[in-house]
Amino acid sequence: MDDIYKFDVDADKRINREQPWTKDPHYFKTCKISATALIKMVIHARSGVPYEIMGLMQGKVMGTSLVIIDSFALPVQGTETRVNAANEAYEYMVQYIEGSKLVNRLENAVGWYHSHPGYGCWLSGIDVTTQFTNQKFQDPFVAVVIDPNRTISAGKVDIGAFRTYPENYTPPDAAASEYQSIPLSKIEDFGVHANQYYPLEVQIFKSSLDNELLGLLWNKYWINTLSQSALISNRAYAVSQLNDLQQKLAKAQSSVSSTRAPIPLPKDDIKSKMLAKEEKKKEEANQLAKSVKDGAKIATEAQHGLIAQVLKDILFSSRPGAPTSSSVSVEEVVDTAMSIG
Amino acid sequence: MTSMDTDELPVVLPSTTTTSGLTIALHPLPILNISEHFTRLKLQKRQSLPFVLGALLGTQTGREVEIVNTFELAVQDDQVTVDQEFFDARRDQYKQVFPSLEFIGWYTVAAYPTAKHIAFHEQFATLIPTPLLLLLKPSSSFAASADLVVQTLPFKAYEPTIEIRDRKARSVFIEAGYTVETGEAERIAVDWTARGGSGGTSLESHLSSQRAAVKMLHDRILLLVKYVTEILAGEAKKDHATLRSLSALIASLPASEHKGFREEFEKSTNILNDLVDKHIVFTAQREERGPGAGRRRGPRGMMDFH
Repeated sequence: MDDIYKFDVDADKRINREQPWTKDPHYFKTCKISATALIKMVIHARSGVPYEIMGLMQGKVMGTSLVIIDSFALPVQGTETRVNAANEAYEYMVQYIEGSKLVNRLENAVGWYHSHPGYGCWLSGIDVTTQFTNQKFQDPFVAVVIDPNRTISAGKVDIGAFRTYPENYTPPDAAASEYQSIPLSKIEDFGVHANQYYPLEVQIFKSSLDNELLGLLWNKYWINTLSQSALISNRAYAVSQLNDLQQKLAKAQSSVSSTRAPIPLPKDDIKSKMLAKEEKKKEEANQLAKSVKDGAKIATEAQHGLIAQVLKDILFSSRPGAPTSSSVSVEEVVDTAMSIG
Repeated sequence: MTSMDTDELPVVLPSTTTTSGLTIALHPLPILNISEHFTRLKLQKRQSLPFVLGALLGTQTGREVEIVNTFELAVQDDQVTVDQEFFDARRDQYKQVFPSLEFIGWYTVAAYPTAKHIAFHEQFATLIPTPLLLLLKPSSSFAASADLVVQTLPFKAYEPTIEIRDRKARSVFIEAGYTVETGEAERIAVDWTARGGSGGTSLESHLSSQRAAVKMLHDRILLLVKYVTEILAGEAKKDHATLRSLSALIASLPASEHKGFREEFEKSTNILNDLVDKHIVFTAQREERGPGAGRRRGPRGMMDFH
């Protein structure tokens, strides 16, 4: 189980000579990330909110997997100048990686990560350009994106790993990826570039010692699980989500009002008209259905926060024998949550 | 160097005579970092107990210390002198990305501190007055136990101090207790990786972590109840400190009978329920014609929610 942590210099040299990824744009299928690398990236991303932060990842190639053993932060805050940020941090990067060799961190840089606080894991136009360049000159290289806000509101890490296709390559019909809610302000950027890259499956690995320690750690921090309140820590983000949903609904509503009731038609015309109506319906359904999904997600996350609060209330505030009619029972709350999600 | 390992005097003061006054909070990240460092060196050097050395980063205000992050350290060829150049470079780099963190101590892997560690301590003491020592005890020296009370993390923290004995001063260590603290993002990430990073609906994962936490609470409460029952039956010895804390705890429950608090709590509960109800109605109605117009009022109305 721990072998993945061993760095085999010869195997690494060999695969870097053969470069099987240059022959197949879809070569890499999975991105395996170590527990420590992941936790460091999430903490870094959260510490930077509301700014985007970035860093590098060290690791190696194993089969069709890009394995990330470690990560480190870079002293740049990105907004629109991501392509240049790498230049500013160049000296830092070189020094850090050189230094790593002195402490037995032998792995090379195999990727970069950055955060999208509150707007999901995908590659923006600038990200795609940056990654094109990376894959041209630094391959093998992977792009990882983390959303620290969603991580907190969903209670699980929101992360994605991506590889860009070479320019002028048209991918075969992309498989439908899992839907994620993108804020209106970013949706165009998302849509335009969505076909220029593909996601890798993210898997987490840990050592046997990590496993032991995590089990023991749980003995200590279960208290935080009960005492922290996602509702409070993520307030601003929750409100901005609602704002965004409202705008999307306004958009959907305006398109709905432009449809008209079908006019009775002579038989031979029915078929073509039906098709046109079908198309329109699909369009509306899409916009509306998406807004519905977004709304459901917001509600679910609010429910999570609520469930936690209610649990605490029941645990710590009920008197034995007293009727709990004044507080909502956990069952009801959970039932409603399940009917949404 | 001379072998000063055959000290008759132990370098750790017995905890019956002196206790550390520090309040130490240890985060999960340093724990996992040190674990990774140790695993990596074991594999690369093919030794079961390689020499591991690293720096602790965190914050210290007065007697409260928080250990937040770590980085590895290198030693020079003599194996006992810290590579100062590397230390300075790495410390500066971490300062650039995490300006609020300071160098507060160092870590290594050993069963207990020895004179060798004092030698390292003196090097670090030139940089900060009281560098903490965090030891990871290698697995052969901690016994895994099924009893949840006995299971503890194989880490021990030590505070350095000076002992004056026979008119001679020497550096010694005092063991210090610590608690585990986490930030929220850190907790979620740690939880997620502990569970293998799999998906499942967010409701499932949320509920299961809540459930696990409540179960722990339940187990601990059962343990306390068992203890009190045994005291009543005359089987166990009364520990007054424990009993006092227990009664203080019970007296403070229910946590929120105060009227003002309950009103606020119910208000926020109701607002959230409202939000959720509106979304349910919205979701349920989406099949019908013209749902957009009717529901538009819903989300706008919720802008007052805060």
